[in-house]
Amino acid sequence: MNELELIDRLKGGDQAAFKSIVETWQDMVYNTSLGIVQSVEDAEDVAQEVFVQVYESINQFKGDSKFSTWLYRIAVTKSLDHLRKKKRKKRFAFLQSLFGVNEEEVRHTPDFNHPGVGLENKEKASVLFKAIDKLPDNQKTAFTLHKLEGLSYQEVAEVMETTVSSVESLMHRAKGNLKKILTDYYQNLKE
Amino acid sequence: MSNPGNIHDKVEQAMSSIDKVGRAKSNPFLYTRIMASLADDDKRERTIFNRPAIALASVLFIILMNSLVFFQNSETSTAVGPAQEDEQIFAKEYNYPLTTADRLYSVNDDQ
Repeated sequence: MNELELIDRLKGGDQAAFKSIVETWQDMVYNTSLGIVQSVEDAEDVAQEVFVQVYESINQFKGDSKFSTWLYRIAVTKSLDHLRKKKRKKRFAFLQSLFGVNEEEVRHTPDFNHPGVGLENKEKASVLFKAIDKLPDNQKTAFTLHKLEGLSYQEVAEVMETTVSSVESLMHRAKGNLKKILTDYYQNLKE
Repeated sequence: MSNPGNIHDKVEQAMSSIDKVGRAKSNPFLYTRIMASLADDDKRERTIFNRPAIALASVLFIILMNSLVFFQNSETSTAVGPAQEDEQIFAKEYNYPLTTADRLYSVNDDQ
């Protein structure tokens, strides 16, 4: 059964079609979320939210773009929302800790190890992910989609609803910022 | 002192550490979790006031009832009640000015 048939059947409320859609795209959605939220548990929650939204708003998909592009858009939006909520919670917990309430809540984020990275690169990749987390949202999105999902600049532009030249510029700035953050990190490590 | 060449190498190595990254595999029970979440949402939606149309209709009904009561009260307060009617009859009979303005004019006329 092809993509369009599956979508039509899901629009008609077919559960088997939905199961098939989840099974086909769950790794793609999960991997995208994982790159942005950098936590296995959070990425699972986001992936779940993405497919719940797909189920509830499949009628809004008009087929103007590829289904995968639409899915990527939902995954990126949900992941960034999740990060914002988490940062807000952290800030609130920090404020509470200043007044002696909820001191346990303020913990340092553990180093993130992407399961797809080989053992020989684990440590370096963990440092890189920490740097990626410090990028502005649009640079983080472009970099993650291109590097982790292997999307071309054209595909990234479609997901982000922008032009290829904007994506090129975002990638250039992302790489520049990452190099700066990493240089600072290694310099501080040596001193 | 830190060696700039060394740091540059480390930065480049970190930058290329995810060049050959594999795709992470999701939880095999993701579909079950999604279906459980959808079932929870269904239960929540079954609460009658969670439906936007019903919530909106309820708010409009409350506003309508409030405005009905308000307008009814304002009409009764402007209408002349039985006590005021008696007052007017009494004033007419004895040529007593009913309002302050009437009273003032009658004082001026006397002068």
